[in-house]
Order: sequence, then C-alpha cells, then structure tokens
Amino acid sequence: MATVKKSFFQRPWDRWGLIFLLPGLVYFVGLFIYPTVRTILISFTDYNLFTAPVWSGLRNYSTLFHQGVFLGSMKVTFVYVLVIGVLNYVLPFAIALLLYASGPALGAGRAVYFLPVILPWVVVSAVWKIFYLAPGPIGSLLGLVGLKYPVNVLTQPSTAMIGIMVIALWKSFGFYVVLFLTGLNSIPPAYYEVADLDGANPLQRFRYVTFPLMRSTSLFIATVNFIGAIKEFDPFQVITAGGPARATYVMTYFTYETAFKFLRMGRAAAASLIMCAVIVIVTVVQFRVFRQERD
Amino acid sequence: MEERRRSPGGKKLLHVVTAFLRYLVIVALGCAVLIPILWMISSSFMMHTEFFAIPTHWLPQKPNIDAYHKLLLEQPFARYYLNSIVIAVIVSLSNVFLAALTGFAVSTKYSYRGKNAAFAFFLGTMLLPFELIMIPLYIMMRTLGLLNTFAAVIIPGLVGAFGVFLLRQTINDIPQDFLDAGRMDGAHEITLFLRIIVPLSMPVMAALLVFTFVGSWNSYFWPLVVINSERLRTLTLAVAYMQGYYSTDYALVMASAVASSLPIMLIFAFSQRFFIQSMTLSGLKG
Repeated sequence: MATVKKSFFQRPWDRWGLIFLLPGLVYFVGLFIYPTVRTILISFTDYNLFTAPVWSGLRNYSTLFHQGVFLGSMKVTFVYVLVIGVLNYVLPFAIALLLYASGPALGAGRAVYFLPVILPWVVVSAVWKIFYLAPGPIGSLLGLVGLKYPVNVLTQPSTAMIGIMVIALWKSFGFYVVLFLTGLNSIPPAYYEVADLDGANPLQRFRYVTFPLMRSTSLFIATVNFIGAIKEFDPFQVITAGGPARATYVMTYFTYETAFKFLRMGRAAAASLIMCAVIVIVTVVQFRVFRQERD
Repeated sequence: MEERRRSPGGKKLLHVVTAFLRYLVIVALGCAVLIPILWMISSSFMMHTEFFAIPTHWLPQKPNIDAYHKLLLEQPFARYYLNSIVIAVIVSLSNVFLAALTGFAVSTKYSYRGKNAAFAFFLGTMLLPFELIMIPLYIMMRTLGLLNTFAAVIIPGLVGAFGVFLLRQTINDIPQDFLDAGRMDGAHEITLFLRIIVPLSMPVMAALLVFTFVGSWNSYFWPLVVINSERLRTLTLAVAYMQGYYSTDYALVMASAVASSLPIMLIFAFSQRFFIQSMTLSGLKG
C-alpha cells in the first residue's frame, strides 16, 4: 500500500490535492456525467415520467427526423445562429475599432454598451415586447427617420424572428465589444508604429496588423457567440413562445415543450443529444481551424 | 485609425471630420442602447392609457407610483425579492468556495495522476447545453422529493467550470515559495488553503461572487421547470408570469421589470470596471 502511494503522489502533500479535488469531482460527475448517460438511455425509450420507460430503440430519432416540427425548429435555429453569429461578430468588431480609435469616449461607451448584457433576459424580453407595440415607441422612433411601422413585428410570422434578433443584438453586442477591445489592447503599439513608418493606410493597417493579430480573439469570440446563440431560450419562451406559426420555434424551445409540456421525455432527450452533437461538432471544427492557422 | 503621412492641411480637416463621425456613431449607439432602458423606467410611472397615446409618450404626463403600489400590496413582490436573494446568496457563496477549493486542487501547486484530465473534464462541461442534462436532473429532484423547493433550484448551480478555471489561473500565479514556507513551519494543507490561497485570491473570488450572484439572479429556465407554487417564485419568474397574465397592465409589467433589475443595475453602477473585467477576464486565455 505504502509503495503504491509513493509512486502515485510524488510529494507527501500531493494527496491533499486529490482530497481537495473530491467534492468538485463528485459534484461534476453527479451533475454532468451521470445525467448525460441517463439522457442517452432515456433517448432510446418512450417515457412520460409516470409509467415505466418502454424501450423503443431508435424510434425517437427517426420520428424527430421525419417530423416536420423538429426539422423546422432546426431550420429556425440555424437561421438564428447564422445571422446572430455573423452580425454579432462584425458589428462588435467594428464598434470596438471605433471606440479604440477614440480614446476619451472609450470608458463611457464601454459601460453604456455593457448595460443590457447584465440585465436579466426575462426583463429585456418583457420590456421589448411592449416596446414593439404598434402604435408605440418603436413606431415613433422609426417615424423620425421617415419609416412606417404599421404592425407589431412580433405578431407576424415573417418578421417575428427579425424582431427577436434585434433584441438579441441589442442585449449582447456590448459583451463582444468588450472582448474585442481586450484583444485590441493586447496588440503591442510597436506593430502600428512599424506600419506607419512603412506608410500603411488605415485599411492596410487593419488588413496586415490588426486582423492577423486578432485571430485568436476572433475565433474565441466566434465560438462563444455561436454556442450562446444555439443555447438561447429565454426570449423565445417569454416573447413569442415559439410562435407565431412556429416562426421562432427554436430547438431549445422544442426540447422544453416536448419534455415538460407534452411529457415526451424520450423524444426530448433525443433532441437534446442532437443539439449537443451540433455544438460539439462545430466547436471542434472551429478549434481545428484555429490550431491549423496557428501552426 | 488616424493617419500620419499626407499633406498637412487636408489631413487636419480629414482628422476633424472622421473624429466627428466616429463620436456621432458612438453616441447614436449609446442612445439606441439607453432608450429602451430609460423608457422602461419612465413608463413604469405612467398611467395605463398612456401606453396607447399617439404620439407616443416618452415621459409620464402625471407621474404616479400606482404600479409600484400594486406590486407591493396586491402582489407578493417582497416575497419574490427575498426568494431571489436567498437563492443568489447561497449559489454565489457556494460557487466561490468550491471553485477555490477545486481550482487549488487542479492548479500547478499539486501534482497527481489524473489532475489534468479532471480539469479538462470540468472545462468540457462548459460546452454542454443545459437541455442535455435537464431531464435526468428533473427526475433526480423528483426522486429526492425536492421538486418545488429552493434546493432544486440551487443544487445544479453550486459550482461551475468557469469559476474553477478562473481560480485555477489565479492560484497558479501565487508564488510557490509562500506554500513551501508554510509547509516548513508545519502548517496543514487546509491551513495553507485558508490562510494563503484564499486571502491571495480574494480579488478574483470577489469578482466571481458578483458574477455568479448576477447569473443566479438572472436565471430563468431551470427555476421555470422546477418551481410551481407562487410563493416560491423568483423575480425573473414573477416578471415572466406577470407579463403573461397581466399582459395588458403594461405599467405593472414595467414596474416589475424595473424592480427586478434595480439591484443588478446598482451592482453594475458601483463596480462597473471591476464587473466588466471579471466577465471577460478569463475569456481570452481560453
């Protein structure tokens, strides 16, 4: 026993590292590994919480992929994630460059833009839901620039998602502005001085100095942004409840409803696993790209 | 993006113009961010009919506190406040303590087989969508008889991978000499944790405390699933129900929105710099 200990722990106090690890390890295994395994098992059954689960093999998966509702929710999620993924990358990057170039306004701008980030999504949803009323505040603001706002965007299947996207951008762009600013601040000024000596114009400075040096920041932000968008739930539940006509029926909301409204635990478990697979695949791809570019 | 080399006269004008445009965009964006928030506060003092006024009322015509009155007297809003506070305090304290302990365990201060694997596993859990584990968690809570209790809300949030990561980075930076000196004096490892690691990690622990407090305060999905009874509702649940059931009493919805975001806005006002840092601190090292 003593010899085993000696080879396992190099120094006498190292065993305390393992002892300190235990509570956290037990917690993470109990709250992540065990439930994940159980979700996988449940996904192969019909289970409604009240009668015993019945083994159904791959039926939940095949139902999902043959059922228009789930495929529709995948499509809705895909569009949301794609639009938010691009806009919430380009806009914050541009705004961060603007703030970076105008020193004195930086602190104030950063603080103001960050304000919606810390507000609860539920509060933001409740407020914007009323803000979007027609006639209402949005209409009068648009009226100032000569635009018409005849009908509440959230009530139309064709525009409800756009309405939520605007809110999501409003709520989260400040977070990414701050991340981009952190990246910009970490670029040594000497690089810009060299670029200036070479007579680079602002566009060239961006193309050859800022952008390449921001690559790791960029990829990190793209990943965080993507995962955040695919996990989004609160606004879809509070603002539109997936509607109208399933125009905002995202995968998280599908999973929630299937599990806790229709009590189809097996199908919901299968849907959550598919969602998880998408996240993992895209993240791995993003990291691969990142590694390759660094090498 | 200023430029250095060009004809001096034209350059100066160009400078002024671009600077002006830059500030214009920055200010316009600031307005776009602030208008809904200011309107939330202003309209919570409006009368119900004012929400339908054409042209839109940006300020209440006769400011009144009817909505807040209703909130406190006709709704158990004080109770919701207490619920949110109790849950957020327990969640944030537990996060800070367990993150420090676990972060210390997986830091460079110890070495044992499996340490890095354990840390990688913790980090991996950050990727998982909550939906992946929600059904078994719900079943667990039901089996334990914890559905519709604070315990069910609190248990899944006791510690997070983000905190472990943050504290590990901090503890890695604490000089090894401090621990060695303690060990020479015969101090126990628990003493080293409480007397050296914790005090030296205090700024980061405080940041994590604020961060997890706000996270718990804002959380919605899991409380929505496990809480049924009205008196156990947190503020976010209360606001959501209010805008569902009293969907036409806009002033009441706005007042509840203001009341439930007030503590968060105060925390932000007093610790803005520190807050932004803590939220992005670890970000770019990951």
